[in-house]
Amino acid sequence: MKLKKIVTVFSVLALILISYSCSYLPTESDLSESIYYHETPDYISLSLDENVNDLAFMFLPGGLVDPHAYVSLMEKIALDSINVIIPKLKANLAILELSKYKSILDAFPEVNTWYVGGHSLGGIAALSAVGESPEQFNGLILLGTYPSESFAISDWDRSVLSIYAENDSLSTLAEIAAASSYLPGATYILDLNEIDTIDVLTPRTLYYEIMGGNHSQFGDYGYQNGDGVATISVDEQHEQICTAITKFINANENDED
Amino acid sequence: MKMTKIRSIIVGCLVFLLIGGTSFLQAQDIRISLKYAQGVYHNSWDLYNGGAELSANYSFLVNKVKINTGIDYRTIQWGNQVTASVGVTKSLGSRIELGAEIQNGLALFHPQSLYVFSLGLKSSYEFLQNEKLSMGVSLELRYSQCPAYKNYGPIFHVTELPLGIYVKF
Repeated sequence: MKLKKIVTVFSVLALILISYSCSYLPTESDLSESIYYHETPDYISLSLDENVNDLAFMFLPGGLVDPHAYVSLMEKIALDSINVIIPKLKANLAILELSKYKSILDAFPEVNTWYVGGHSLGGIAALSAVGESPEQFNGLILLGTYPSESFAISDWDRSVLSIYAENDSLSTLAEIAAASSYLPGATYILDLNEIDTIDVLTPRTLYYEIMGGNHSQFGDYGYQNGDGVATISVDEQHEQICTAITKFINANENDED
Repeated sequence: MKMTKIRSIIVGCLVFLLIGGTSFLQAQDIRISLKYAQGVYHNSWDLYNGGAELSANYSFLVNKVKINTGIDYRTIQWGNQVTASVGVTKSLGSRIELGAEIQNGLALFHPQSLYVFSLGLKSSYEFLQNEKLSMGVSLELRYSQCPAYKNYGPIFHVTELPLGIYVKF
C-alpha cells in the first residue's frame, strides 16, 4: 500500500513535469555557407571567421524553445560581422541557469567587448547577467520581454535596446510600457535609421515596435500557444530585428571610437 | 495535433504501466533515483554537464536475475525526455549489482515529440540496508540517441556516465 502511494505520487509528479516541459522545435532551415557554425554541449557559435574574437553578442533563448530556433535570425547578425553565441540551457530554461553567462565569458577569452540579450525568459536571464556583472557588457538587447522589479537595471550606465511586437500576446505592449521604469530612460524610435543619430553612450532604452509581428517570430519555431497572430512573415520580422541589433551595436562601437 | 494526441497516449500508457504494474504484481522493490549525467562523448570526446535525471524503477526476481522496468525523466542535449526502461541485473553479494538496460521514449517537443533510445550498462552499491528502506549509489555507462534531432543540430547522440543516488523500498 505504501509502495503504491509512493509510485502514485512519483507518477503524478512525472506527469506534471512531462506536461510542462515540451520545448518548441525549430523550423528546419539551411545555414549560409559564409558562416562558421560551431556547436558544443554548452553553446552554438556563429561567426564570419573561424575564431570568435574582439566583439560578440550573447543571446539567451526563450523558455522552452530549442536554441536552434534562433540560428536563422542570429546567422543574419553574424553575416554583419557580429559574432553570436547562443548558450544551450538545461531543460531549455534560462531561469534554471542564470549564471550560464559566466561560463560563456570564460569560454571566449579573446572577446573583449560583449553584448548580451535574450528573448522572453532568456531576456530575464540577460537582465540578471547585467544586474550581476554590469561592467562585463556594453549593451543589452531585449526581444519581446521586460524586467520585473527584482531585475531592475534603471541605474545601469549603458544603453538597452528593447524590441517588441504589435501582436505579441505573451509580452504585451502594456506590460512592456509598465516595466519601463526598471530600465534606463525611454527613447521611442519609429524608424530604425534614427539609431544612427542617437547618442547611445548616454544611458537610455531605445524602444522599437515591430508592426504586425508576434512573440513566436522572434525565433523560428512556429506558433507559440497563447501568442497573437502575426500579419508579417518570419523573414520580415527577422529583417527588422537584425537591422535594429546591428545598428544598436554599431552605434555603441562607433560612439566609443 | 495528431502527434500531440499520440504523445499523450504514450505518456498515459507509461504512467498506467507504472501504477498498474505495481498493483497486480508482487513487487520485490521500488527504486527512486536522482542522477547527474557526466557527458563524455558527443561528436568528439568531451567532458560536459549532460543533465539531471529522475527515475522510478520496479524490479522482480526471475531465476536469480532481477528484471527491472521503469520510467525516467531527464534533461539532455535536446531538451527534456521521458523514457520507459527495461533491463536485467545480477547481484554480486548483498550490496553490489551489475546490469544492462535499454530505454525507449520521447524527446518532449512541440508540435511533435521525437523518438529517443538509450543502451546502457549499470552498477550499483548499497551503503545502507534495512528492512524498510535501502540507499545506494550507482554508476552507469549509457549511449543515447535522438535520431530525428539531427535535422536541427549536430549533437543528436551522446555517451554519458550517469552517477546516481537512490532509495529502495
